[in-house]
Amino acid sequence: MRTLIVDDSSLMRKMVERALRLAGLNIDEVLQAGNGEEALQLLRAESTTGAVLNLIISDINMPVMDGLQFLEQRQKENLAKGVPVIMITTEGNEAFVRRAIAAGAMGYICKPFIPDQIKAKIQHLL
Amino acid sequence: MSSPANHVSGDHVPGNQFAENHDMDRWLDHLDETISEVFVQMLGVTCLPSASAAQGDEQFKVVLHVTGEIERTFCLYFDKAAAKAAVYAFTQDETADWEPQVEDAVGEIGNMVVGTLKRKLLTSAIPSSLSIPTVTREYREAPPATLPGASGRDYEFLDNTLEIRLNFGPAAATTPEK
Repeated sequence: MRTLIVDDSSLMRKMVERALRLAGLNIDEVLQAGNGEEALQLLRAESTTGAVLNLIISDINMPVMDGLQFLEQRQKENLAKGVPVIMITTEGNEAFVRRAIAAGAMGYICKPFIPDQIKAKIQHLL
Repeated sequence: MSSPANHVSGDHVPGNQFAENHDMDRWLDHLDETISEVFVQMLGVTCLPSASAAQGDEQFKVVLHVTGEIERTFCLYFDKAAAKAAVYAFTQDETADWEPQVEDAVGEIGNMVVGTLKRKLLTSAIPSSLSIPTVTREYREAPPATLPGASGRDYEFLDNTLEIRLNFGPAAATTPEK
């Protein structure tokens, strides 16, 4: 499984990757981006290679471009179409979640989390 | 140094004093449980209320603002040893250089603590947003509890002290948002 993790915290990106592996998910490659803009650049580059991306996990609250703007722009540009997106948030704000779902997110996980919660969410989606 | 019990200091509490204090108590009532969840689930360590004094003069201050219909400012103070321990708990690697990662680690802890509190206490009927944390390295000048209207608690994890202070009202007196 090729996964893109978007979070402004490099420690949190590592922690999410660790949680995915601890959950026993078959992670072949992890791509990382520090904000929505970096993630879009990565997806644009990916779209020219034909490589398959299986999952996107994105934080919401980030500088430069937040997770919701990232999702909305991704939808506009038709990037990584059909790839499941899971948002990670500390707030679980209903308005944010509604906006994320409208922009193509398939679910969200609240921080703090335990690896099994990530596993359950991904198994439910894939 | 403050005790782990609630305390309100300073002369000025904006708005209705009873309502504001009651509300402050509500936030503080959820703080112990929230701190415990964040530290146990994300860092694998316990973090409990404590009366221990912070060690040393150097500290890392994390500031987060809740803005909207409700205005709150949270300050988390990690003394140097606590900040170092937070990085190691995050990375699970005590051989790595902790300093390049310290702002990331303490900022993310602050984000999770305040974000979780906000999720528990503010429903969608109270529109509000959470700022990105700002982290500054500073020398301790005065006990944070002397800030007007501040209330807070001290916690201990891995023999290190974490102080958390909650302020009401506009955040102009604290570190600006990113």
